[in-house]
Amino acid sequence: MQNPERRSALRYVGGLLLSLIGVALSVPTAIYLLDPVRRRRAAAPGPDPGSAAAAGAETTAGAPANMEAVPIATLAEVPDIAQGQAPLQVPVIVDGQHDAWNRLEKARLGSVWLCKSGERLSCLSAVCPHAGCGIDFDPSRRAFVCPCHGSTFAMDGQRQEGPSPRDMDRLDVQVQDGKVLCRYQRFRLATGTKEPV
Amino acid sequence: MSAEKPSDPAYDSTLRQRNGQATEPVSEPPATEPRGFFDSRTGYRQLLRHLLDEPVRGGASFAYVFGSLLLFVLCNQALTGVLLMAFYAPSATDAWASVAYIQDQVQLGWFIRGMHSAGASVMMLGMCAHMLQVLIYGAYKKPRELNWLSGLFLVTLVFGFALTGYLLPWDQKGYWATQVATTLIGSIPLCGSLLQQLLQGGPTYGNLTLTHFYALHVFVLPVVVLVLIAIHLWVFRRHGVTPRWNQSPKDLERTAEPFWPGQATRDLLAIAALLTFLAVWVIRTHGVDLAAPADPASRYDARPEWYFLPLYQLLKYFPGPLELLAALGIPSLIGLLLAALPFIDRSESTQPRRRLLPILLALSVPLGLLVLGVVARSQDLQNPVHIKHLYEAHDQAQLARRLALQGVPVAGGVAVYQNDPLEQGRLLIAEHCTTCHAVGKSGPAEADQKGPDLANWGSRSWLRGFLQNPDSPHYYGKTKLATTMKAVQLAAEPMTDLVEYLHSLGNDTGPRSGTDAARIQRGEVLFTDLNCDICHERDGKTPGQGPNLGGYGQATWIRGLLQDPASPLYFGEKNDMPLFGKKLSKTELERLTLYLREQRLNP
Repeated sequence: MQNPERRSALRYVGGLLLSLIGVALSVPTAIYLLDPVRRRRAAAPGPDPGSAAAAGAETTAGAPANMEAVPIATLAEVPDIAQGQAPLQVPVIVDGQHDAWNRLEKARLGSVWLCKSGERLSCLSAVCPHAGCGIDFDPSRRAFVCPCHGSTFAMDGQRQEGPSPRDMDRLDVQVQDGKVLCRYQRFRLATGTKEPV
Repeated sequence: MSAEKPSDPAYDSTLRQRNGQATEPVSEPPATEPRGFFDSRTGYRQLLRHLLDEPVRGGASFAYVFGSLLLFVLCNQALTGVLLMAFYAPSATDAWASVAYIQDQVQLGWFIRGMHSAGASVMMLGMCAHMLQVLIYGAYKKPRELNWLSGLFLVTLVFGFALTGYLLPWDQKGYWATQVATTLIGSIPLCGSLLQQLLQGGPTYGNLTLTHFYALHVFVLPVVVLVLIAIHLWVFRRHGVTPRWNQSPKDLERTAEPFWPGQATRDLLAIAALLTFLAVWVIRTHGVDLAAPADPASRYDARPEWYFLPLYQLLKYFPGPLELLAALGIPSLIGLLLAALPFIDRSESTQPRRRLLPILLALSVPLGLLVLGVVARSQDLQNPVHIKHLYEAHDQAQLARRLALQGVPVAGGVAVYQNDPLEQGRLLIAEHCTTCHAVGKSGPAEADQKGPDLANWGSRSWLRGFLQNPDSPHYYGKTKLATTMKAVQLAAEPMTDLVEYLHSLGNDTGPRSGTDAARIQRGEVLFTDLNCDICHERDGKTPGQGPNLGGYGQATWIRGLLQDPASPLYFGEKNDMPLFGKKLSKTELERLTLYLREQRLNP
């Protein structure tokens, strides 16, 4: 025990053991904690037929990447801004949405500003591209205004002033049997380009 | 020199200096060595040296690894515990679903959860080993009484962890086993009821029980444990290890060496071995079980985790009011006796041979626990009813976890069964049908059966058995229909033809649409040849002597039977069955129909 060589060898052994234990604990920790990130990625290109988890559809909160269009309003309800009406804010409600362990019925994903100008339908996400606040409509200015940092957008969603890096996010809409269907999506915030999350 | 005497309180630091000079002058950095940015601001190197250069009198030994092992297991529990917290929701609706999610969906979730559970078991074993070592080495003696007492306190707290943690998954196992513990607390005279309600957050189990247990498990107990461990280690550092009894003080001083690297490497080696053992154990068992979600309306054979089994067994021997004595009195008494040990055994010597009485007395505790535990387990293993329940519980758990993969409805817990229409049917069958009908192995005792066995109802094997012996108690022998139909006597081949024909009646695409058209056709001929058609019409609307077999086994036929079995299209005047059309909702009838229809697809 008093032999210095042996003690220095022991130091190496001790150091090695300590590192091994550290690695043995941190690798599973990292894999486990990265699960939600992996799940999100796996969701993006569509369900992976090989994984059992994919069988239960996707699980992260928010809209799945391949979400189908869901009815949000009847065509008759859609206000015509050409006739001076104010756009309509409608919630997007979806069945069978997954949130981690839960399957939700009638989950509220978010809301959209819906209007038409003549025959042209317009559906804009109410999420401000700047920092994610809910965009409001100011009837006196006939413009969309974000209540948080004051970004304003024209009736067609075009950025007018304020810190928002881009126009309001336009969503796909279609009309089927007198119903307006919307494919709801969320986009990355605070970037100049519109990329789905 | 007074420093030679181990009893001198200053010996510790003197020894460190002496030791450093004698064995390793380089380990003490010269005062002129430049100190790093952090060291000059924090002085961490000095702290590190203080921690690592602790002199181990008598030299490093594997006998001293147990304390470090326990400390490591505690770290394992803390790490895996925090990881579980990141995916767990302590509410009666979400707890089970979140644990099922961790167990079956999060990558390596089963491993983290398994390590947490196996860690708890190892903690129990490690505590036993640590205490036995302390006992044999006489390490509880003066001046280490406080170390011994803080250790005993820690043991109690670890049991507290085990008790609170067992409930958190809110599965059948934890729910029912913990009920026993809280009920016992409630039976303490005077303050029991209040104590129980405080602990479980009200008179019954619910959301508040989980949040209370959770707060205890992840915050209150850990904080108290940390404080006690600080005391435990502080006192330990003050007095050092208790060396083996056969070394003279002089030898001990001569062979003393610093904690690092000699003892530390031994500790780390033991920790690495333990970690490997734990990981292999968890991987081989695929982590720990998760029972079906807690269902207050169900029956469950509650058994505690193995370390509580002795206490569980003890309860069986103490009836009625004496129960409290067994559950709380005996453990408290043992605890008090152990706590008094250093004050009873006051001799100077640590020589085990001179302390046989206290050692044997103390040894009898784990031995007694072991015996009780083994008796409890072997009684269970010899109990066929318990074994049967275990299998049922296992199947139920598998089903619930499979259904949870589709996402658990927000109602949580048992609502997971809503994912399975067939399971709904099974539950309805159990609720409404099994008073009279057997379903395979479940259902009433044979004497109480009043209708045919519904397992595999309408399947080929069921039809064959029925045709060969309709009056068997397994079929219609115990109904008013008994003796109304003659057994069909046919050779093997034609019998298969007839069975195939009858089975084809239930196909959605109509009769004769089965795979073996020729066989079905021959069966149809047999049906008339054997005069079956005299009593059984097959058009679905004409009443006859026996049930109309048009669409026999199809959903419409089954639904019709359930709604009104006394209709002339079914059993008519000979009906014994309740008219479920009046008792059940439309959805319930649909689920029952689905379940029964599924039976005919069995072989």
